[in-house]
Amino acid sequence: MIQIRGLGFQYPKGRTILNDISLDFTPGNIYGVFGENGEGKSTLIKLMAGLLFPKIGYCQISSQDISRRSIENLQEIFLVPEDFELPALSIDSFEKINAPFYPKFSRDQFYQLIQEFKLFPKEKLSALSFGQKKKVLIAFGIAANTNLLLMDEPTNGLDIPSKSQFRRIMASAVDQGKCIVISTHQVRDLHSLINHVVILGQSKVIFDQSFSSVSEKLWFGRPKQQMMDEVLYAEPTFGGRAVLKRENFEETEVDLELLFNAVVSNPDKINTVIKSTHYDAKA
Amino acid sequence: MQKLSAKRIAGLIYRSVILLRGAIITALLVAGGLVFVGTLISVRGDFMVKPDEFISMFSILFLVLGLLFTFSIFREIQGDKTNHFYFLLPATALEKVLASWLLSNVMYIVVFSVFAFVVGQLGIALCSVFPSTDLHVLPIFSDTYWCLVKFYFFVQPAFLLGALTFTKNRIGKTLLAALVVVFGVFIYNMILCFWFTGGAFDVFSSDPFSTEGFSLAQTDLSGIGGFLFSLVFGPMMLLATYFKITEKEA
Repeated sequence: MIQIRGLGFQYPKGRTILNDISLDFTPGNIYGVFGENGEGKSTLIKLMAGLLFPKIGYCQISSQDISRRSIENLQEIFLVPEDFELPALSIDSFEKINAPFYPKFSRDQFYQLIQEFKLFPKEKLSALSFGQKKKVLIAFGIAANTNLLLMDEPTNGLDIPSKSQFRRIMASAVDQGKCIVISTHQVRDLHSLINHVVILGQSKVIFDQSFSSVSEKLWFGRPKQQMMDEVLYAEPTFGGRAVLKRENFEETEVDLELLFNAVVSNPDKINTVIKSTHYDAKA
Repeated sequence: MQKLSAKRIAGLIYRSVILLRGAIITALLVAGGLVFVGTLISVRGDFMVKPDEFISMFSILFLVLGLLFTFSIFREIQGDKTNHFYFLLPATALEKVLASWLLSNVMYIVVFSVFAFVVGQLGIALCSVFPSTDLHVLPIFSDTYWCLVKFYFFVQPAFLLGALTFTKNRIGKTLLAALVVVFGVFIYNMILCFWFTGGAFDVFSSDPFSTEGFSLAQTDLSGIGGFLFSLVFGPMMLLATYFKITEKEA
Protein backbone atom coordinates (compact mmCIF):
# COMPACT_ATOMS: atom_id res chain seq x y z
CA MET A 1 0.00 0.00 0.00
CA ILE A 2 2.61 2.57 1.08
CA GLN A 3 6.04 2.34 -0.36
CA ILE A 4 8.83 4.60 0.82
CA ARG A 5 12.16 4.48 -0.97
CA GLY A 6 15.35 6.42 -0.26
CA LEU A 7 13.38 9.16 1.42
CA GLY A 8 15.26 12.12 2.83
CA PHE A 9 13.90 15.18 4.53
CA GLN A 10 15.13 18.26 6.33
CA TYR A 11 13.38 21.44 7.35
CA PRO A 12 14.75 24.68 5.86
CA LYS A 13 18.00 25.59 7.62
CA GLY A 14 17.58 22.55 9.85
CA ARG A 15 19.50 19.32 10.27
CA THR A 16 18.58 16.22 8.31
CA ILE A 17 15.56 14.69 10.03
CA LEU A 18 15.17 11.60 7.87
CA ASN A 19 17.86 10.08 5.71
CA ASP A 20 17.54 7.23 3.22
CA ILE A 21 14.34 5.81 4.66
CA SER A 22 12.90 2.78 2.88
CA LEU A 23 9.80 1.14 4.30
CA ASP A 24 6.76 -0.81 3.18
CA PHE A 25 3.38 -0.60 4.87
CA THR A 26 0.88 -3.24 3.84
CA PRO A 27 -2.88 -3.57 4.54
CA GLY A 28 -4.15 -5.66 7.42
CA ASN A 29 -1.41 -4.51 9.78
CA ILE A 30 -1.00 -2.10 12.65
CA TYR A 31 2.45 -0.57 12.57
CA GLY A 32 4.11 1.02 15.56
CA VAL A 33 6.67 3.69 14.68
CA PHE A 34 8.92 4.35 17.64
CA GLY A 35 11.84 6.61 18.28
CA GLU A 36 13.29 8.98 20.80
CA ASN A 37 12.20 12.62 20.81
CA GLY A 38 13.25 14.46 17.66
CA GLU A 39 13.99 11.32 15.67
CA GLY A 40 11.48 12.25 12.96
CA LYS A 41 8.42 10.15 13.82
CA SER A 42 5.96 13.00 13.33
CA THR A 43 7.81 14.16 10.21
CA LEU A 44 7.55 10.67 8.74
CA ILE A 45 3.80 10.59 9.50
CA LYS A 46 3.36 14.01 7.84
CA LEU A 47 5.33 12.83 4.80
CA MET A 48 3.10 9.76 4.58
CA ALA A 49 0.02 12.00 4.79
CA GLY A 50 1.32 14.29 2.06
CA LEU A 51 1.54 17.28 4.38
CA LEU A 52 5.29 17.43 3.73
CA PHE A 53 7.11 16.55 0.54
CA PRO A 54 10.35 14.54 0.57
CA LYS A 55 13.53 16.33 -0.45
CA ILE A 56 14.86 13.14 -1.99
CA GLY A 57 13.34 9.73 -2.62
CA TYR A 58 9.63 9.13 -2.75
CA CYS A 59 6.58 8.08 -0.79
CA GLN A 60 3.88 6.32 -2.81
CA ILE A 61 0.41 5.08 -2.00
CA SER A 62 -1.01 2.54 -4.44
CA SER A 63 1.93 3.28 -6.79
CA GLN A 64 1.10 7.00 -6.92
CA ASP A 65 3.22 9.73 -5.38
CA ILE A 66 1.50 11.10 -2.27
CA SER A 67 2.85 14.56 -3.07
CA ARG A 68 0.54 14.62 -6.13
CA ARG A 69 -2.34 14.92 -3.65
CA SER A 70 -4.86 13.22 -5.90
CA ILE A 71 -8.43 13.08 -4.66
CA GLU A 72 -8.39 9.27 -4.79
CA ASN A 73 -5.41 9.23 -2.43
CA LEU A 74 -6.71 11.90 -0.09
CA GLN A 75 -9.98 9.97 0.25
CA GLU A 76 -7.93 7.02 1.49
CA ILE A 77 -5.83 8.85 4.10
CA PHE A 78 -6.83 10.14 7.51
CA LEU A 79 -4.46 11.65 10.04
CA VAL A 80 -4.94 12.02 13.77
CA PRO A 81 -2.21 14.54 14.62
CA GLU A 82 -0.48 14.88 17.96
CA ASP A 83 -1.59 18.43 18.60
CA PHE A 84 -4.70 19.94 17.11
CA GLU A 85 -7.62 22.23 17.71
CA LEU A 86 -11.19 21.46 16.77
CA PRO A 87 -13.77 24.11 15.87
CA ALA A 88 -16.38 25.28 18.37
CA LEU A 89 -19.10 23.03 16.99
CA SER A 90 -21.12 20.15 18.36
CA ILE A 91 -19.84 16.64 17.61
CA ASP A 92 -22.68 15.96 15.17
CA SER A 93 -22.08 19.24 13.30
CA PHE A 94 -18.40 18.33 13.03
CA GLU A 95 -19.42 15.00 11.52
CA LYS A 96 -21.91 16.61 9.12
CA ILE A 97 -19.44 19.10 7.63
CA ASN A 98 -16.50 16.71 7.24
CA ALA A 99 -17.98 13.27 6.60
CA PRO A 100 -19.23 13.98 3.03
CA PHE A 101 -15.61 14.26 1.87
CA TYR A 102 -14.90 10.63 2.80
CA PRO A 103 -16.91 8.26 0.56
CA LYS A 104 -16.59 5.24 2.89
CA PHE A 105 -17.54 7.17 6.04
CA SER A 106 -19.94 5.25 8.30
CA ARG A 107 -22.20 7.41 10.46
CA ASP A 108 -23.39 4.40 12.45
CA GLN A 109 -19.82 3.42 13.26
CA PHE A 110 -18.95 7.00 14.23
CA TYR A 111 -21.84 7.43 16.65
CA GLN A 112 -21.27 3.94 18.04
CA LEU A 113 -17.67 4.89 18.82
CA ILE A 114 -18.76 8.24 20.26
CA GLN A 115 -21.10 6.35 22.56
CA GLU A 116 -18.35 3.90 23.45
CA PHE A 117 -16.09 6.83 24.36
CA LYS A 118 -18.90 8.08 26.65
CA LEU A 119 -19.50 11.22 24.61
CA PHE A 120 -22.76 12.70 23.29
CA PRO A 121 -23.43 13.88 19.72
CA LYS A 122 -24.77 17.24 20.88
CA GLU A 123 -21.77 18.00 23.07
CA LYS A 124 -19.77 21.10 22.06
CA LEU A 125 -16.21 20.30 21.05
CA SER A 126 -15.02 23.49 22.73
CA ALA A 127 -16.32 22.21 26.06
CA LEU A 128 -14.40 18.93 25.84
CA SER A 129 -11.00 18.17 27.33
CA PHE A 130 -8.06 17.54 24.99
CA GLY A 131 -8.33 13.79 25.60
CA GLN A 132 -12.04 13.82 24.72
CA LYS A 133 -11.36 15.84 21.57
CA LYS A 134 -8.76 13.25 20.64
CA LYS A 135 -11.38 10.53 21.10
CA VAL A 136 -13.70 12.41 18.69
CA LEU A 137 -10.94 12.60 16.11
CA ILE A 138 -9.99 8.94 16.60
CA ALA A 139 -13.67 7.95 16.20
CA PHE A 140 -13.90 10.07 13.05
CA GLY A 141 -10.69 8.56 11.67
CA ILE A 142 -11.90 5.00 12.23
CA ALA A 143 -15.38 5.74 10.84
CA ALA A 144 -13.87 7.40 7.76
CA ASN A 145 -12.78 3.85 6.82
CA THR A 146 -9.80 5.11 4.86
CA ASN A 147 -7.30 2.49 3.74
CA LEU A 148 -4.56 4.34 5.58
CA LEU A 149 -5.08 5.65 9.10
CA LEU A 150 -2.14 7.62 10.48
CA MET A 151 -1.93 8.45 14.16
CA ASP A 152 0.70 10.62 15.77
CA GLU A 153 0.98 10.08 19.52
CA PRO A 154 -2.70 9.08 19.77
CA THR A 155 -2.50 8.14 23.44
CA ASN A 156 -1.16 11.53 24.56
CA GLY A 157 -3.87 13.13 26.63
CA LEU A 158 -5.78 9.90 27.22
CA ASP A 159 -6.26 8.69 30.77
CA ILE A 160 -5.29 5.14 31.80
CA PRO A 161 -8.72 3.50 31.21
CA SER A 162 -8.99 5.31 27.89
CA LYS A 163 -5.64 3.92 26.77
CA SER A 164 -6.82 0.34 27.13
CA GLN A 165 -10.13 1.33 25.53
CA PHE A 166 -8.12 2.83 22.65
CA ARG A 167 -6.18 -0.42 22.19
CA ARG A 168 -9.39 -2.45 22.15
CA ILE A 169 -11.08 -0.16 19.64
CA MET A 170 -8.05 -0.01 17.36
CA ALA A 171 -7.65 -3.78 17.41
CA SER A 172 -11.26 -4.18 16.28
CA ALA A 173 -10.90 -1.44 13.65
CA VAL A 174 -8.20 -3.10 11.59
CA ASP A 175 -9.29 -5.35 8.74
CA GLN A 176 -7.65 -6.79 5.66
CA GLY A 177 -8.07 -3.59 3.65
CA LYS A 178 -6.79 -1.16 6.26
CA CYS A 179 -3.33 -0.16 7.28
CA ILE A 180 -2.88 1.65 10.56
CA VAL A 181 0.35 3.44 11.39
CA ILE A 182 0.80 4.70 14.94
CA SER A 183 3.76 6.80 15.92
CA THR A 184 4.56 7.20 19.58
CA HIS A 185 7.33 7.48 22.10
CA GLN A 186 5.09 5.86 24.73
CA VAL A 187 6.00 2.34 23.74
CA ARG A 188 3.95 0.65 26.46
CA ASP A 189 0.70 2.20 25.20
CA LEU A 190 0.79 0.01 22.11
CA HIS A 191 1.33 -3.21 24.01
CA SER A 192 -0.60 -6.11 22.42
CA LEU A 193 -1.91 -3.85 19.66
CA ILE A 194 0.69 -3.57 16.93
CA ASN A 195 1.99 -6.42 14.79
CA HIS A 196 4.94 -4.66 13.21
CA VAL A 197 7.67 -2.55 14.78
CA VAL A 198 9.58 0.26 13.10
CA ILE A 199 12.20 2.10 15.13
CA LEU A 200 13.84 5.32 13.99
CA GLY A 201 17.24 6.40 15.25
CA GLN A 202 19.87 8.81 14.02
CA SER A 203 17.64 9.82 11.07
CA LYS A 204 17.43 6.26 9.80
CA VAL A 205 15.32 3.15 10.18
CA ILE A 206 17.26 1.09 12.70
CA PHE A 207 14.67 -1.65 13.09
CA ASP A 208 11.85 -2.87 10.85
CA GLN A 209 10.48 -6.26 11.82
CA SER A 210 7.15 -7.96 12.22
CA PHE A 211 6.06 -8.94 15.70
CA SER A 212 6.02 -12.60 14.70
CA SER A 213 9.67 -12.55 13.65
CA VAL A 214 10.62 -10.73 16.86
CA SER A 215 8.89 -13.28 19.06
CA GLU A 216 10.26 -16.08 16.90
CA LYS A 217 13.85 -14.98 17.25
CA LEU A 218 14.10 -13.14 20.55
CA TRP A 219 13.36 -14.13 24.10
CA PHE A 220 12.21 -11.61 26.73
CA GLY A 221 12.32 -12.21 30.46
CA ARG A 222 14.46 -12.75 33.52
CA PRO A 223 17.25 -15.10 32.42
CA LYS A 224 18.54 -18.00 34.50
CA GLN A 225 22.27 -18.36 35.13
CA GLN A 226 22.79 -20.85 32.30
CA MET A 227 21.13 -18.48 29.83
CA MET A 228 23.48 -15.56 30.50
CA ASP A 229 25.66 -16.28 27.44
CA GLU A 230 22.74 -15.57 25.17
CA VAL A 231 21.94 -12.15 26.64
CA LEU A 232 21.82 -9.42 24.01
CA TYR A 233 20.65 -6.65 26.25
CA ALA A 234 19.88 -6.48 29.94
CA GLU A 235 18.33 -3.74 31.94
CA PRO A 236 18.86 -3.87 35.70
CA THR A 237 16.15 -1.27 36.27
CA PHE A 238 13.67 -3.77 34.92
CA GLY A 239 14.48 -6.17 37.71
CA GLY A 240 16.93 -8.10 35.65
CA ARG A 241 14.78 -8.44 32.54
CA ALA A 242 16.75 -9.04 29.39
CA VAL A 243 16.56 -9.73 25.67
CA LEU A 244 18.12 -13.00 24.57
CA LYS A 245 18.51 -15.03 21.44
CA ARG A 246 15.50 -17.29 21.61
CA GLU A 247 17.26 -20.43 20.33
CA ASN A 248 15.38 -23.31 21.97
CA PHE A 249 13.73 -21.32 24.73
CA GLU A 250 9.99 -21.12 24.96
CA GLU A 251 8.26 -18.29 23.14
CA THR A 252 7.66 -15.21 25.30
CA GLU A 253 5.46 -12.18 24.99
CA VAL A 254 7.32 -9.33 23.28
CA ASP A 255 8.27 -6.65 25.78
CA LEU A 256 8.08 -3.57 23.57
CA GLU A 257 9.89 -1.27 25.94
CA LEU A 258 12.72 -3.71 26.44
CA LEU A 259 12.94 -4.33 22.69
CA PHE A 260 13.03 -0.58 22.02
CA ASN A 261 15.81 -0.03 24.56
CA ALA A 262 17.75 -2.99 23.20
CA VAL A 263 17.49 -1.75 19.63
CA VAL A 264 18.37 1.84 20.52
CA SER A 265 21.40 0.75 22.57
CA ASN A 266 22.76 -1.56 19.87
CA PRO A 267 20.69 -1.83 16.71
CA ASP A 268 23.27 -3.84 14.74
CA LYS A 269 23.46 -6.52 17.40
CA ILE A 270 19.69 -7.09 17.49
CA ASN A 271 19.30 -6.90 13.71
CA THR A 272 22.21 -9.30 13.16
CA VAL A 273 20.73 -11.80 15.57
CA ILE A 274 17.32 -11.65 13.90
CA LYS A 275 18.85 -12.00 10.44
CA SER A 276 21.38 -14.69 11.38
CA THR A 277 18.83 -16.85 13.17
CA HIS A 278 16.61 -16.38 10.15
CA TYR A 279 19.33 -17.73 7.84
CA ASP A 280 20.18 -20.49 10.30
CA ALA A 281 16.57 -21.55 10.31
CA LYS A 282 16.56 -21.57 6.50
CA ALA A 283 19.71 -23.65 6.41
CA MET B 1 -5.65 17.50 -14.31
CA GLN B 2 -8.06 16.41 -11.60
CA LYS B 3 -11.80 16.56 -12.14
CA LEU B 4 -13.65 19.52 -10.70
CA SER B 5 -16.55 18.41 -8.53
CA ALA B 6 -19.52 20.70 -7.88
CA LYS B 7 -20.50 18.44 -4.98
CA ARG B 8 -17.15 18.95 -3.26
CA ILE B 9 -17.29 22.73 -3.88
CA ALA B 10 -20.77 22.81 -2.34
CA GLY B 11 -19.45 20.71 0.56
CA LEU B 12 -16.59 23.17 1.14
CA ILE B 13 -18.99 26.15 1.06
CA TYR B 14 -21.35 24.44 3.51
CA ARG B 15 -18.38 23.59 5.72
CA SER B 16 -17.16 27.21 5.79
CA VAL B 17 -20.64 28.55 6.51
CA ILE B 18 -21.09 26.16 9.45
CA LEU B 19 -17.60 26.91 10.80
CA LEU B 20 -18.24 30.68 10.59
CA ARG B 21 -21.90 30.41 11.59
CA GLY B 22 -21.53 32.36 14.83
CA ALA B 23 -19.50 35.17 13.27
CA ILE B 24 -21.87 35.42 10.29
CA ILE B 25 -24.95 35.68 12.50
CA THR B 26 -23.35 38.30 14.76
CA ALA B 27 -22.14 40.37 11.78
CA LEU B 28 -25.54 40.21 10.10
CA LEU B 29 -27.30 41.25 13.31
CA VAL B 30 -25.00 44.24 13.75
CA ALA B 31 -25.29 45.21 10.07
CA GLY B 32 -29.04 44.68 10.16
CA GLY B 33 -29.38 46.94 13.19
CA LEU B 34 -27.30 49.67 11.58
CA VAL B 35 -29.20 49.45 8.27
CA PHE B 36 -32.51 49.58 10.13
CA VAL B 37 -31.57 52.61 12.22
CA GLY B 38 -29.96 54.25 9.18
CA THR B 39 -33.17 53.78 7.19
CA LEU B 40 -35.26 55.36 9.95
CA ILE B 41 -32.90 58.35 10.10
CA SER B 42 -33.02 58.68 6.28
CA VAL B 43 -36.82 58.80 6.30
CA ARG B 44 -36.82 61.60 8.86
CA GLY B 45 -37.29 65.03 7.29
CA ASP B 46 -38.28 64.19 3.71
CA PHE B 47 -40.40 61.09 4.50
CA MET B 48 -38.51 58.86 2.08
CA VAL B 49 -35.18 57.14 1.56
CA LYS B 50 -33.19 58.64 -1.28
CA PRO B 51 -30.75 56.41 -3.25
CA ASP B 52 -27.66 58.38 -2.20
CA GLU B 53 -28.59 58.28 1.48
CA PHE B 54 -28.98 54.53 1.54
CA ILE B 55 -26.02 53.65 -0.62
CA SER B 56 -23.55 55.72 1.41
CA MET B 57 -24.41 53.72 4.53
CA PHE B 58 -24.68 50.45 2.61
CA SER B 59 -21.28 50.88 0.90
CA ILE B 60 -19.39 51.22 4.17
CA LEU B 61 -21.05 48.17 5.73
CA PHE B 62 -20.77 46.16 2.52
CA LEU B 63 -17.05 46.78 2.08
CA VAL B 64 -16.03 46.48 5.73
CA LEU B 65 -18.00 43.28 6.35
CA GLY B 66 -16.89 41.85 3.00
CA LEU B 67 -13.29 42.47 3.94
CA LEU B 68 -13.70 40.90 7.39
CA PHE B 69 -15.57 37.94 5.94
CA THR B 70 -12.87 37.36 3.31
CA PHE B 71 -10.20 37.32 5.99
CA SER B 72 -12.16 34.92 8.18
CA ILE B 73 -12.46 32.37 5.35
CA PHE B 74 -8.84 31.21 5.56
CA ARG B 75 -8.51 31.40 9.34
CA GLU B 76 -8.38 27.60 9.54
CA ILE B 77 -5.39 27.46 7.18
CA GLN B 78 -3.35 29.94 9.20
CA GLY B 79 -3.45 27.95 12.44
CA ASP B 80 -0.73 25.33 12.93
CA LYS B 81 -3.13 23.24 14.97
CA THR B 82 -6.04 23.49 12.55
CA ASN B 83 -4.60 23.53 9.05
CA HIS B 84 -3.80 19.80 8.77
CA PHE B 85 -7.51 18.97 8.62
CA TYR B 86 -8.14 21.50 5.85
CA PHE B 87 -5.11 20.47 3.81
CA LEU B 88 -6.00 16.78 4.05
CA LEU B 89 -9.63 17.29 3.05
CA PRO B 90 -10.19 15.35 -0.15
CA ALA B 91 -10.70 18.38 -2.38
CA THR B 92 -8.39 19.91 -4.96
CA ALA B 93 -6.70 23.29 -4.47
CA LEU B 94 -8.81 24.67 -7.32
CA GLU B 95 -12.01 23.52 -5.62
CA LYS B 96 -10.86 25.13 -2.38
CA VAL B 97 -10.13 28.45 -4.11
CA LEU B 98 -13.41 28.40 -6.04
CA ALA B 99 -15.42 27.57 -2.92
CA SER B 100 -13.76 30.39 -0.96
CA TRP B 101 -14.24 32.86 -3.80
CA LEU B 102 -17.87 31.92 -4.47
CA LEU B 103 -18.71 32.25 -0.80
CA SER B 104 -16.86 35.45 0.00
CA ASN B 105 -17.60 37.14 -3.31
CA VAL B 106 -20.65 36.05 -5.34
CA MET B 107 -22.71 34.66 -2.45
CA TYR B 108 -21.71 37.48 -0.14
CA ILE B 109 -22.81 40.13 -2.69
CA VAL B 110 -26.20 38.44 -3.19
CA VAL B 111 -26.90 37.59 0.45
CA PHE B 112 -25.78 40.91 1.91
CA SER B 113 -27.65 42.93 -0.73
CA VAL B 114 -30.87 40.97 -0.21
CA PHE B 115 -30.47 41.16 3.56
CA ALA B 116 -29.85 44.94 3.53
CA PHE B 117 -32.78 45.41 1.15
CA VAL B 118 -35.14 43.39 3.35
CA VAL B 119 -34.06 45.14 6.54
CA GLY B 120 -34.23 48.59 4.91
CA GLN B 121 -37.65 47.77 3.50
CA LEU B 122 -38.80 46.68 6.95
CA GLY B 123 -37.62 50.05 8.25
CA ILE B 124 -39.66 51.84 5.58
CA ALA B 125 -42.67 49.63 6.38
CA LEU B 126 -42.37 50.61 10.03
CA CYS B 127 -42.19 54.29 9.10
CA SER B 128 -45.27 53.95 6.87
CA VAL B 129 -47.29 53.26 10.00
CA PHE B 130 -47.07 57.00 10.55
CA PRO B 131 -49.39 58.99 8.24
CA SER B 132 -46.62 61.29 7.01
CA THR B 133 -44.66 58.50 5.31
CA ASP B 134 -45.80 56.44 2.32
CA LEU B 135 -44.73 52.87 1.82
CA HIS B 136 -42.14 52.96 -0.95
CA VAL B 137 -39.52 50.62 -2.40
CA LEU B 138 -36.02 51.00 -0.98
CA PRO B 139 -33.87 52.45 -3.77
CA ILE B 140 -30.91 50.11 -3.33
CA PHE B 141 -30.13 49.21 -6.95
CA SER B 142 -28.78 52.57 -8.07
CA ASP B 143 -25.81 53.16 -10.40
CA THR B 144 -23.59 53.65 -7.37
CA TYR B 145 -24.68 50.21 -6.10
CA TRP B 146 -23.63 48.52 -9.33
CA CYS B 147 -20.29 50.38 -9.31
CA LEU B 148 -19.74 49.22 -5.75
CA VAL B 149 -20.58 45.61 -6.61
CA LYS B 150 -18.32 45.74 -9.67
CA PHE B 151 -15.49 47.15 -7.56
CA TYR B 152 -15.91 44.47 -4.87
CA PHE B 153 -16.29 41.70 -7.44
CA PHE B 154 -12.96 42.50 -9.12
CA VAL B 155 -10.88 43.75 -6.19
CA GLN B 156 -11.93 41.20 -3.53
CA PRO B 157 -9.75 38.36 -4.96
CA ALA B 158 -6.72 40.48 -4.04
CA PHE B 159 -7.88 40.39 -0.42
CA LEU B 160 -8.50 36.66 -0.70
CA LEU B 161 -4.86 36.33 -1.70
CA GLY B 162 -3.82 38.55 1.21
CA ALA B 163 -5.89 36.47 3.63
CA LEU B 164 -4.01 33.38 2.49
CA THR B 165 -0.54 34.89 2.17
CA PHE B 166 -0.12 36.69 5.46
CA THR B 167 -0.29 34.83 8.76
CA LYS B 168 -0.32 37.78 11.16
CA ASN B 169 -1.91 41.27 10.90
CA ARG B 170 -3.41 40.04 7.67
CA ILE B 171 -5.81 42.93 6.99
CA GLY B 172 -3.20 45.61 7.69
CA LYS B 173 -0.52 43.90 5.61
CA THR B 174 -2.91 43.35 2.68
CA LEU B 175 -4.01 46.99 2.74
CA LEU B 176 -0.38 48.06 2.93
CA ALA B 177 0.52 45.80 -0.02
CA ALA B 178 -2.40 47.23 -2.01
CA LEU B 179 -1.25 50.74 -1.14
CA VAL B 180 2.28 49.98 -2.31
CA VAL B 181 0.95 48.58 -5.61
CA VAL B 182 -1.31 51.62 -6.18
CA PHE B 183 1.56 53.95 -5.34
CA GLY B 184 3.84 52.02 -7.70
CA VAL B 185 1.31 52.31 -10.54
CA PHE B 186 0.93 56.02 -9.77
CA ILE B 187 4.68 56.61 -9.96
CA TYR B 188 4.95 54.52 -13.11
CA ASN B 189 2.16 56.51 -14.79
CA MET B 190 3.69 59.76 -13.67
CA ILE B 191 7.04 58.84 -15.18
CA LEU B 192 5.37 57.75 -18.44
CA CYS B 193 3.30 60.94 -18.66
CA PHE B 194 6.34 63.07 -17.94
CA TRP B 195 8.32 61.19 -20.58
CA PHE B 196 5.64 61.14 -23.31
CA THR B 197 4.82 64.83 -22.92
CA GLY B 198 8.42 65.87 -22.83
CA GLY B 199 8.07 67.16 -19.30
CA ALA B 200 4.95 69.22 -20.03
CA PHE B 201 2.78 67.16 -17.74
CA ASP B 202 3.50 67.89 -14.12
CA VAL B 203 1.15 66.26 -11.68
CA PHE B 204 1.98 68.79 -8.99
CA SER B 205 1.45 71.78 -11.24
CA SER B 206 -1.85 73.65 -11.54
CA ASP B 207 -1.42 74.62 -15.22
CA PRO B 208 -4.51 73.80 -17.39
CA PHE B 209 -2.83 70.95 -19.30
CA SER B 210 -1.74 69.11 -16.18
CA THR B 211 -5.00 69.81 -14.37
CA GLU B 212 -7.07 68.47 -17.27
CA GLY B 213 -4.79 65.46 -17.62
CA PHE B 214 -5.02 64.68 -13.93
CA SER B 215 -8.81 64.97 -13.78
CA LEU B 216 -9.12 62.80 -16.90
CA ALA B 217 -6.97 60.15 -15.27
CA GLN B 218 -9.20 60.27 -12.22
CA THR B 219 -12.49 59.93 -14.08
CA ASP B 220 -11.71 57.97 -17.20
CA LEU B 221 -10.43 54.45 -17.23
CA SER B 222 -9.24 53.64 -20.73
CA GLY B 223 -10.38 50.55 -22.60
CA ILE B 224 -7.11 48.80 -21.86
CA GLY B 225 -7.29 49.91 -18.23
CA GLY B 226 -10.85 48.64 -17.90
CA PHE B 227 -9.90 45.35 -19.53
CA LEU B 228 -6.90 44.92 -17.25
CA PHE B 229 -8.90 45.86 -14.17
CA SER B 230 -11.92 43.67 -14.85
CA LEU B 231 -10.74 40.69 -16.85
CA VAL B 232 -7.12 40.34 -15.81
CA PHE B 233 -6.73 41.64 -12.25
CA GLY B 234 -9.46 39.55 -10.54
CA PRO B 235 -8.69 36.23 -12.29
CA MET B 236 -4.96 36.87 -11.85
CA MET B 237 -5.45 37.27 -8.11
CA LEU B 238 -7.53 34.07 -8.01
CA LEU B 239 -4.78 32.26 -9.91
CA ALA B 240 -2.22 33.58 -7.44
CA THR B 241 -4.46 32.37 -4.58
CA TYR B 242 -4.59 28.93 -6.19
CA PHE B 243 -0.78 28.74 -6.39
CA LYS B 244 -0.52 29.99 -2.82
CA ILE B 245 -2.79 27.19 -1.60
CA THR B 246 -0.78 24.56 -3.47
CA GLU B 247 2.38 26.05 -1.98
CA LYS B 248 0.92 25.95 1.53
CA GLU B 249 -0.25 22.37 1.07
CA ALA B 250 3.37 21.27 0.82
